[in-house]
Amino acid sequence: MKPFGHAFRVAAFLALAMVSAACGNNPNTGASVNGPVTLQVWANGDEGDKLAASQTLASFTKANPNFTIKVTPWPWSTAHDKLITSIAGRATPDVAMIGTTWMGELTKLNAVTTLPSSVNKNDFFAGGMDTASANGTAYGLPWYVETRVLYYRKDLADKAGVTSAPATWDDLTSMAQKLKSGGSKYGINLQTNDWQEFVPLIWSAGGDLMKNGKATLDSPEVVKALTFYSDFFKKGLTRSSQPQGFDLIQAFVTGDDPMFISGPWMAGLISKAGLDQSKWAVAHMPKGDKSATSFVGGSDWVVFKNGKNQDASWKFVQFMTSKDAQISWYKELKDLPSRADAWSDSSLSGDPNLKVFGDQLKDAHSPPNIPQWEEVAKAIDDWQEKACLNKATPQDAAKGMQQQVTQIIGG
Amino acid sequence: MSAQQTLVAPAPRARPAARRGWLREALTGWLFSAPFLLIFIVFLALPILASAILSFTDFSLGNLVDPFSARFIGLSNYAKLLHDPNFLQAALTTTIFVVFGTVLNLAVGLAAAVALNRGISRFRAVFRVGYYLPVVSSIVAVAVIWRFLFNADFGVVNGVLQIFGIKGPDWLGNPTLAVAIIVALMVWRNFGNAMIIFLAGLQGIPNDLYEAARIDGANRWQEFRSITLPMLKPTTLLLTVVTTIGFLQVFEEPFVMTQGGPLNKTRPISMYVYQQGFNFFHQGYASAMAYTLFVVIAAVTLIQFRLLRSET
Repeated sequence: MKPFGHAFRVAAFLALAMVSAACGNNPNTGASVNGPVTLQVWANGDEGDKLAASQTLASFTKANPNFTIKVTPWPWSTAHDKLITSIAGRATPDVAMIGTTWMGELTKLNAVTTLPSSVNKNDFFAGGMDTASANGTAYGLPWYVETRVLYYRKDLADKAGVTSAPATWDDLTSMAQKLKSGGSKYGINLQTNDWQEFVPLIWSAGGDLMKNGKATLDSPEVVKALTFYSDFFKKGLTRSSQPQGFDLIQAFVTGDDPMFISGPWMAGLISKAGLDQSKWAVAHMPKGDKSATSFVGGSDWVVFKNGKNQDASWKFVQFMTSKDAQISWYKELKDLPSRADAWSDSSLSGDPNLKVFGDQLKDAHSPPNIPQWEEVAKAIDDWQEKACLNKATPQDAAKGMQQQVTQIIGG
Repeated sequence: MSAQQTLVAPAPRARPAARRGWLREALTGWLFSAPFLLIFIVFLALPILASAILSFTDFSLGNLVDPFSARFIGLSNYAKLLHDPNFLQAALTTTIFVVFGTVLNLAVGLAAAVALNRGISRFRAVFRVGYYLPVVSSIVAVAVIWRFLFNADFGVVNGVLQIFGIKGPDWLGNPTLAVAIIVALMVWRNFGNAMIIFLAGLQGIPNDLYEAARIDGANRWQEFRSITLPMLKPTTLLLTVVTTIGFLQVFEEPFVMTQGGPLNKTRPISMYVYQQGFNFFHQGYASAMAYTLFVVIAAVTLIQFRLLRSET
């Protein structure tokens, strides 16, 4: 019989090529901490972009020459979904930097290891440690923390006759009004649908998102916070919408938006944009009925159960959260250290703006670490937007939040 | 072996050697189609089947690592979406996109085709390429430019309005206007396709019909109404089907322009499916929505094909 024809051979080759491409093979990374170790590290945002070439990482690999750290940076906008998908596909990295509201999902997926008992949790700020824990168990370590404070244009405030930072909610409203009538386009910059700006107001009013696993969003405190927040939009004291890519720094420098609420990273950006330090200041959040609470964010390190080098991974994480690494990381990226002892370094204690953040950190909460948080946040955003754009009264919006969140978390 | 042979009975005059040749040919054929079949089965057929099953389960975040722990809940997902205000809003948005988008897409495509076929004689190739260019350009790049055009503070559109003393609105911040802009973007991006197919249809209309009409004293408009439009009916119906199917699944335009906002008014069903499935990981519920959309598409297509068949 004649051997297979030419066409047949081509077809067979193609089919084989397909199969071998589909299978692929996993590189073997099994090694102890003493031998050569390669760690896959995922990090997000600015930190992700800069980690690989940072001095901090260089000092780690210098002290541990057997380690190779492969950093994969992700933008914040896709990092969460990418990480969850990697867990589903069992293709997680060894170590990942996570957002402070993700721990509920990661533990529900049983994806991360618990914190080794050798780590002293008391070294870290309680607010930061909370974000790295779920149901009372610590799974990760906070890498850096941040909290939101009020940024305002001091020069414009002086011109408008406001001599001190707003102490209460009423002060904030009247300051925004004075700034606007003083010539600014708006009084303050707030967003229609950003729970991170809105939820701290609930805490400040004395309310909370949930209690004993049940939503508490139709409380008078939530209505009060929604009324206060949405009034800025109804009175035209803030923009009713912000296009994607809106440049808040530019609007702050020109004086169009003379106040906003944001985290420590904005300070560097304002200076970079050329606004003199004498013209602006930061202030503690204004006080509601009960407190002047802010949001605590930042990021945490976690080690995945799928990783082959968990001991080595924790070694890396413990280095990144050590006092020296935190100080060096602060110098590189201005990320605030998550452990109190790092704050005594002169590079931090000498900065007057940082004192405000340090104070605010003592009164800052994070949302509950539940697996459904992303969905709850979207529901809060949606109803907040309806209230701000006057499509629902604060009462109805609070009821809507309560109903939708109850449906999401059950119970 | 014998079953196969009876199934595909060889021609009566076939000799054993020819049968061997047939077998080799069949094997070669299968091997050539193997790359496609593998991809089709692994990446299309299996997921379609899987999502059909998923739509009857409560599959969500916790099941990602342990898929078989999902419970069958019958038609609960389908019942739930009928009471989900977000889904109903998305269905309304999709309907608006499809109705306005399809009508405008065909109208603009036809106008461009007629203009290119009869009116424009200079630079015809330039216009053809120009009208077709949006079809092949990257949506992300286009969206960046459109967002700048319609920026409330420094956009070109409001800049031009300013010249006439009109204070331009906040285009993408206003729910109604945002929907209109998305429809405009969908039409602008797709009418090139309609134009090409209409052009082909126009060139298939015999010239003697127009000559006869002209002898009878018909004017341009009468020619268009009584000859061009009726002769283009099959083309129009085909385009209606294709455009409707496409726009029922619209995702990219609102995703890059508005992310579904403001007030979720520009969030079509496909984007809500995406959010439920890949942001919140309710993949059971998302599958149920996807299948509902599929049934709607199938039904609409069937109705349109019926029309198509009876008219030609």
